Amino acid sequence: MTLETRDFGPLEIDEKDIVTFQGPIFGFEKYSRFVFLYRQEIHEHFIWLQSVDEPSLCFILVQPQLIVSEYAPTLPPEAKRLLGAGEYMCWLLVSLRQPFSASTVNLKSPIVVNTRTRQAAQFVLEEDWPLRHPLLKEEAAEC
Amino acid sequence: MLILTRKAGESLVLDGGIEVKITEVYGDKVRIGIDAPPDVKVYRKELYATVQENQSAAMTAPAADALKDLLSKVK
Repeated sequence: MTLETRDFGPLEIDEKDIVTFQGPIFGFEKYSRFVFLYRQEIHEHFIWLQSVDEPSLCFILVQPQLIVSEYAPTLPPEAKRLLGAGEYMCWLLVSLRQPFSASTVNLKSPIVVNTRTRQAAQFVLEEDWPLRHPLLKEEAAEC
Repeated sequence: MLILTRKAGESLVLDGGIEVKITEVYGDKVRIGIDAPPDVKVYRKELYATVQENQSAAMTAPAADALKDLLSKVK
């Protein structure tokens, strides 16, 4: 099917690549079908989470290990019920800000995907991870 | 902050057609029912910070070329 995307125009996607949110992206409860768009040429550790049903709705996600190497969230008990058995992958939402050095990532509420079933959810962790952690490491933010 | 005392079964009405009803009190917990128009979203406060953060994450990103340049600083 052809998908209208916010950042990359119309794209051909395979319906079996659609990720279904079993628990909502909070504040966006109406939208449950998304696709991951990989853009290696922009950055290999970022992906775009594009809504299938609303072209203007798209999030940029980053691999946690790029930001905080020791990131090891404890998921709430309902994770297993929502996402089923399988291997989980964790992604962090990026908030791009002006200036770019003020951009942040959300370590408190990761997006978690079961890579086998393609079911996903956002979880708000009990642990004390920050909602706004700098995207850039200090030395990079200065230049 | 306005503080009122209510019993189970009693309600408050907020302007805009929102009713907040104390349905049950047990131990240190209170069950609350909320009747609101469909466009009024209700969140537990600890979730609301995440809602706001998600809204800022959903803002439009720069065009691909500019973004590539910016993200190249993330290593």
